[in-house]
Amino acid sequence: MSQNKGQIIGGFLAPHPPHLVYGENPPQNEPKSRGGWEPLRWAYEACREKIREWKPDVILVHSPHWQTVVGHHVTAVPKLSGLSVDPIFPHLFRYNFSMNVDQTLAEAIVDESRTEGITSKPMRNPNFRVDYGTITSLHLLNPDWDIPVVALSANNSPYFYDDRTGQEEMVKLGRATLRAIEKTGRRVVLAASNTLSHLHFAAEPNPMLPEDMTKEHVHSQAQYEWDVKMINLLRQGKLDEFMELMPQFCKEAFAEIKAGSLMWMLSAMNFPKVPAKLHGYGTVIGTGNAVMEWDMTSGKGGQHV
Amino acid sequence: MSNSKNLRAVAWVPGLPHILSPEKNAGYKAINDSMRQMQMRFADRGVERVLYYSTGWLSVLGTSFQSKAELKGMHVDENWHELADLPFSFKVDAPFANKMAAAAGKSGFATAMVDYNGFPVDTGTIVADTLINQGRWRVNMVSSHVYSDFAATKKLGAAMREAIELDGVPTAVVAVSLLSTRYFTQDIKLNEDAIREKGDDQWNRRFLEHLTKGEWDLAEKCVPQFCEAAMPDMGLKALAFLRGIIGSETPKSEICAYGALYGTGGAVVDVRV
Repeated sequence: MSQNKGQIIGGFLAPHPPHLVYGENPPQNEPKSRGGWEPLRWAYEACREKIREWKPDVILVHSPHWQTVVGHHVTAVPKLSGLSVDPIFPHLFRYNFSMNVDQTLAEAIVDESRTEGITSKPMRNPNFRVDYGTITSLHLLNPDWDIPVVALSANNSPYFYDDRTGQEEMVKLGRATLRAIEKTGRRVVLAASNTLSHLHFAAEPNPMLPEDMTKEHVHSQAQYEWDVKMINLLRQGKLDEFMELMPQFCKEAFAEIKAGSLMWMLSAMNFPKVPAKLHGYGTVIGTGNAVMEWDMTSGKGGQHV
Repeated sequence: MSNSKNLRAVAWVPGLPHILSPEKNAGYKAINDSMRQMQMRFADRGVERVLYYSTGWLSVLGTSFQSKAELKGMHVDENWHELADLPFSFKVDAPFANKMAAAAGKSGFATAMVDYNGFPVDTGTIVADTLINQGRWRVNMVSSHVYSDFAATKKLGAAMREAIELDGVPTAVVAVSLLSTRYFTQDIKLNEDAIREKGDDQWNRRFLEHLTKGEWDLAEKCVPQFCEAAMPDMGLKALAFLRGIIGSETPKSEICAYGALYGTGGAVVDVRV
């Protein structure tokens, strides 16, 4: 283990609609577009700038689209590459990915998770296809892919058991992640790959032009109001109120944070009572997406009890 | 004998990757053997094509149909990545995929064709095809639309039956789905695998008994209770799809194997259409 104590420099709520990669037209993605969803992509530009400024050793991402039944899995091979096709939106996302993994940190997260009493597994198969949620969030934060990554799966305990059990697991995973970071001496950025409200259109509004922005809008006013309420609580640093409302939010707005990525990140950051910075909010086929940042360099993180 | 000229065989099989490791558990081996033997059963009935409906292939924006004629690749299961790499090679009947989509569209379903290199074929379809087909026949795949309820899925099955009937190729329909899905959520010794809850096992057996006797109405009637008690796979949409496939018929079934797969229940069922 490292002599220098590692730290979390910052965290991002980094939603993963593949439409955002499709709209950008990076060389890695096969389908090409005329653009679209610019306000969200501009929000990610601010995150990219921040990451360039911070120069982290590693970016960690927790994605609900790598769903595991038996415990929390962590990518633990030196390199992963291949073609990742989104099973839901294959016409929008067929991405040639290549990422270097911080294997030491990954193994440390597995070890610390076991110390926390939760089931955890290293993913050591080099042929593993990385899910589109992980790739989308990472691409949007760092399109150069020049920073090693660690990806964590979303254990489906919030769905298999119940919200409380599931979120408790994520809190433990967050604690384990923080200890692993500290012990390995890494300076890291975390990414919670979650959309907020998640009810969406049942069919593409314009199949001939998926990036037709005249068709993009919130799924419902109620869903929009839920998003605004929760974003405002995060912007004001009112985490206690956010946590209190979270189960209702998940139920009524079908919020994707139920999958645990945000809870994992907040736990790893010791539930910081610092205001989060909103870089942008926008809808993608009706879902509500907020790109938000927690700057932990101020040293105002909370404490685990 | 089915009153459909071209519907030659119907089966219900599980699709977890453990089945491909028969050496790890006697129950896995029984399921593996039964699925392999399904090929001979299909061959005896003159099957020339296999249509898969897997609850592992989820679609959100309507119902999808695989239409890439040559589909090859390597799949690694997202949960059990340490068990095995799963190479696959499908010869897809692309023209029939279009006919199925047209039939579904005619019945009011939103449809999409899937014709992409690297498309992530689900573990269940790969496992089933590896054991049953082994590259022998052309295949087709239809997705399980998450927002289709039991009635809509039944209607989709009926549309597929009509497409099979009109197309003229002797076809087997295979639903890939577990029964109860209460997984063990911690590491277990695979040689000690068991149905996780006694009640789940009882429900699985009760359900299979209905299929054995050809009591399809009773099987369908018990779905709400089964779902409440034993978390069956995707609300037993496989039953809905197969009811649509068999239409008004009430064939008896043979349970070729039944056992535990990481706490869940899996059965190899030969529906004697």
